[in-house]
Amino acid sequence: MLAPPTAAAQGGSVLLEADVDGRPVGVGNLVLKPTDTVKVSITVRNGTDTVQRVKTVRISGTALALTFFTYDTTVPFDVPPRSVETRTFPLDPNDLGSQATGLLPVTVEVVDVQRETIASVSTTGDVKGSLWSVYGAFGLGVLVLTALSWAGALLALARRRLPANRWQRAMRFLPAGIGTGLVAVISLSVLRLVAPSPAAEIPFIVGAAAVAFVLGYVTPHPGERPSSSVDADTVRIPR
Amino acid sequence: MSQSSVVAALPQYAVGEQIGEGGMGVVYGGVHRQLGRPVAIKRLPHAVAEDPRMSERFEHEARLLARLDHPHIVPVYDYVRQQGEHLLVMERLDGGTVWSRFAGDGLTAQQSCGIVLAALSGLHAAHEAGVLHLDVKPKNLLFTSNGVVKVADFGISQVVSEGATLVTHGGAVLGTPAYIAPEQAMGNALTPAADVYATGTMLYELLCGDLPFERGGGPLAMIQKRVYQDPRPLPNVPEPLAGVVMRSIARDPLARYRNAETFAIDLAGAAGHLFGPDWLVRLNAPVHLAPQVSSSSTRRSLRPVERDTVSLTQQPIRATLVDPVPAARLSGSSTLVPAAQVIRPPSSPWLLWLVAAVTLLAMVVVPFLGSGRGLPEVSLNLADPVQEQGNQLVVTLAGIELANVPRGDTGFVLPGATRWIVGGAVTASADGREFLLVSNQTPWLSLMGTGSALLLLFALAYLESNLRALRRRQTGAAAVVAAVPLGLGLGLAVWLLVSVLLKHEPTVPTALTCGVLGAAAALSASLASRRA
Repeated sequence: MLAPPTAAAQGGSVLLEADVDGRPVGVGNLVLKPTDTVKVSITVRNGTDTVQRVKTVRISGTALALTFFTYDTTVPFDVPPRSVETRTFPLDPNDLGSQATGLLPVTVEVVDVQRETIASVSTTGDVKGSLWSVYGAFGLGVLVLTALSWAGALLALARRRLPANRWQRAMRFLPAGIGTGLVAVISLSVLRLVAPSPAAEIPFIVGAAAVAFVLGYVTPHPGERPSSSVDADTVRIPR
Repeated sequence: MSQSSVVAALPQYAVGEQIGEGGMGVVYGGVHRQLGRPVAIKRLPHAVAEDPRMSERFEHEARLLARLDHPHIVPVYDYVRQQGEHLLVMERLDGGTVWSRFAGDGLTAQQSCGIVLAALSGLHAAHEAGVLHLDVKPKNLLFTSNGVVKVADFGISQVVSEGATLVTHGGAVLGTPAYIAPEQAMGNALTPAADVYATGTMLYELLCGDLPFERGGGPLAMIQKRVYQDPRPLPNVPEPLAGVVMRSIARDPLARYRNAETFAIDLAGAAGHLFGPDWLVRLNAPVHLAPQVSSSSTRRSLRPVERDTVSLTQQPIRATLVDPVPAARLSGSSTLVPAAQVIRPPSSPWLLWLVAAVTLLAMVVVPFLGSGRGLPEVSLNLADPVQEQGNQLVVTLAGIELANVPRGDTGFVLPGATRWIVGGAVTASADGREFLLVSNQTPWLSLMGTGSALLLLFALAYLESNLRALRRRQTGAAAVVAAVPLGLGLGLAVWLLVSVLLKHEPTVPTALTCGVLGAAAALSASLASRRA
């Protein structure tokens, strides 16, 4: 499920607001086109008693704890205590098309000189990239491999070619289940069917894997196989 | 005729009590008066003695048998034809039969292989001399007091029926239907492969305790199965031994070992592979093998030995079948007819297949027809609140409650999991006012959509697996019983998938109809596969 797109604060009192081409981040999907340079505007509200020294603004897309793209823009500025600072800078994501596509969790962060995140805001990015980008190929690959895993396991079941050991049969179905969970998380987002949600990723994958494991566990014993390997060793005596 | 005629025909023997009786005659014990040698005297049935053609054939066989001199063949000492009696005087073996040991303490796999190698050795010698046995079975393999296996009762069926199997009008079979080769049952031309088949069947039984075909149905059904069905795979016996046995009992004689020696070579090789090159030495049983068989047995194999061999070699296997099939007694050939005349191919279970096809078709069609009660539709993303009038919203799938939520500030907010569960349409009720709640997301994002598709594929694969097991006779009634819940699952999966894709209201009557039709289709197909 998608987490509410409200700004997250570090230290409890530093808030970040961001907008891209005038559209606030966190309201609707953040559309990112590799061909268009966008104007990113960030506003840091420092509610603490110390100066917040911003060095970099980072925009990253992450799924399954894997970062598929990151843009670090150096925008050094200080936010005095109890004050608000706004900075605007252009972002040219021209190589984004080869890195990601589809719906992807996107985070905008402000990072200090020690590379610690001061504040961040998350949203769902709608990346208009290529299907053959890293994320796109990954999602399609997972989809194809999952389909093959299911087909292989089910055909082996139908043809009575599964292992004789019940646990091994369950393990034969496990990859298909894990793949189904990954498809739900990645492939569907590549195809813009559903935005991935970090909260649902693990339950999806574990749940699908468990269901597939149980299905494999309840499959029938394949029985004795017809013999096939003997003829090669047979020596006939000519009569 | 009584025992007195035997006594009269064999004055040089002291004829004792009857020690055996079978479909092919009676056996008496006796002692040679001058030599003091114990003998077994086989008196052929009157039907043979009274038929001049059979008598001629028997005399011919007796001459051939008398010439056989092999350590694994019961030697014939004498043959007397006098006053209508045909008497064969043979060595008397007091060590019991293979059957008595098999039904008693049981035999280990090594012992069984040793016994069968000995029998094959004797059979091959007989085949070389032009004699087929045609009634190889554990009761016809006898032990001497020293433990040497010898094959007895050669060629009797050849004499009586020229090799063809005869049956009575009552359905009893002359001979032993459990071990009979298909070509012998059908009265076709016979070769040593017929004895290979019977020996292979015997080895199958010795190794697993059961016959390669289902029991029951009487002797004619037993023959019918051997003619028209393939044998069951040999359970609990590892390769390459299982492969050797299965090849020896192939239905087609051309797919079998052509003669006893090639069978013995492969059997010795497989046993040597599984039990070690010195297994015959360790067995300590006197087995006389031809040099090529012997070398095959001791040839060291490079292939790894499977783990389950250990249990096979240590556990004695005992007979589980106690000869329930009544054998015909040879009392006059006029009442006997060739088995080929009464054996019919098993009828094709076309009616069951037709029922399966029709119910399967109905199962697929029914969910397309049932479009529900024509309730008004409300289409939305189920992650968003439902904007309908009322205070309480209940969402159900075919009577199963999925959500029951009160009205909130923004409408009815469904639990978060609802959007992942519901695909297509479900029934919703806001304060008793029913409508269809239709998800506007792709159904493949939902458990109802993808789950029903996977359940459908899984049930199909499981059913096909069971049908194959039934066709291969690897399983029996259990797979037929399992077909009912599988068919039910298949029907429900088809119902749910079609309902989701067409956004029809999923209703209980349609679900039940599809489930019952699926169960009926699966049951019919299973019964048909079992009979095929």
